[in-house]
Amino acid sequence: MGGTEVRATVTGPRQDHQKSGTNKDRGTIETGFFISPFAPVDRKNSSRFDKRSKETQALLIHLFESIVILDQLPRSSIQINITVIDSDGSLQAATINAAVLALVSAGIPMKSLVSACEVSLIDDEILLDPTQDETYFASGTLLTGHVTHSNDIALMESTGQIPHDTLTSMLAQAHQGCEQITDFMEKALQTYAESLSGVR
Amino acid sequence: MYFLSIVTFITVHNFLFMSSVCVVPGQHVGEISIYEAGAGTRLQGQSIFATRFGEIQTSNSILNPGKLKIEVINRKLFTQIPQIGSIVYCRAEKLFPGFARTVILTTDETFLPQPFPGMIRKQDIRPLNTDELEIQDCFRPGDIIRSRVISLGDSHSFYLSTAGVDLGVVYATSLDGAPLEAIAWNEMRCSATGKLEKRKVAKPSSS
Repeated sequence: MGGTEVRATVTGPRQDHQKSGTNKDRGTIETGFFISPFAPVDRKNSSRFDKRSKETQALLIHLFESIVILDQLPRSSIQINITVIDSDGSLQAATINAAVLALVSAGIPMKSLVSACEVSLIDDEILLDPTQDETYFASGTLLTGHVTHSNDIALMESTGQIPHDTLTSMLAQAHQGCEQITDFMEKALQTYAESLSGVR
Repeated sequence: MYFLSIVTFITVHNFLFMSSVCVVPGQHVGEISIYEAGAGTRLQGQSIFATRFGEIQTSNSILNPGKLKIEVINRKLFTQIPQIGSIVYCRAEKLFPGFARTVILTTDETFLPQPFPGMIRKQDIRPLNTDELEIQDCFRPGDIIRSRVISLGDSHSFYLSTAGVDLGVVYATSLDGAPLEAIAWNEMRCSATGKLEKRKVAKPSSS
């Protein structure tokens, strides 16, 4: 997504190691999030435990607990690992898109695909998929995750200030962006399927 | 010219085949009035949606005659975990006086991505006379056992059962290291030395 590059891997389903048997007949989702030290514009050493990666992990778990059909995976856990290789804005949206495709290619049952994108507001102008420099100047940023093949919104998060009258136009803009991403994802999956059937 | 037309036909046919049957999760695949929702699909209201990425396959329904059962099949990208009632192959790891610890390797003839732990309790080895039975006369560590999942068990492992003619040890090696041959339901013979060893043997399938 722009200059952002994210890699996602999915491990599982495997035996749930959690001892507390609170929800035995449902699966659980675990996440790992790692930003490489060379990824951001300002070089940092380790950001495995910082506030932002924790927030993104909570976001991922919240989203995928509603999307993945966990009833079909009793007593097992799915591990989603995210590695950020290059960070240049719209990081959370790129993370969600990568994780969705990784889940599909792992064969995890899901209710539907989700595509996410970010919209920023800079001086009454709406920008789709802002870069890192653009987010510094933005007065507000909106992250949405749209359920494909429907108008449902699976995820919405806003930071900064967004005036009420521009919110609807920002949402419409985000919806259009998500539809483009959906098309791209489905095309990527089709080519992936053809490459698989070539092996078969 | 003739050759070219064949090539075009094949590519067009392939393209149509791929584009018409590959579905992504959340894609609408049919209505309940025509189809019955099978594996890899879910029912919401009157519509059937795919829940995994794969190819659509329809077959005649057994439960509802006259309806077609619609399934999303993917042989390459497929996850399965042991369910209650599924037939699994497991390897015996460690024997205890009351039970045997095993590792489940395959379920419903599909390899698991990661092995799941299983447990065969003494009372689940055979249907009758389980009191007079010694667990070391039924299994040895390293045996490959065909068994059925009877419950999801405690927080640690799945409970498995070998009560049945077709369930039990399918492959084992003797103390001398040679493969064992099944000669009775409770005895196996070493293929190298001819010594007899005790096992709970599965009846070899006819196929």
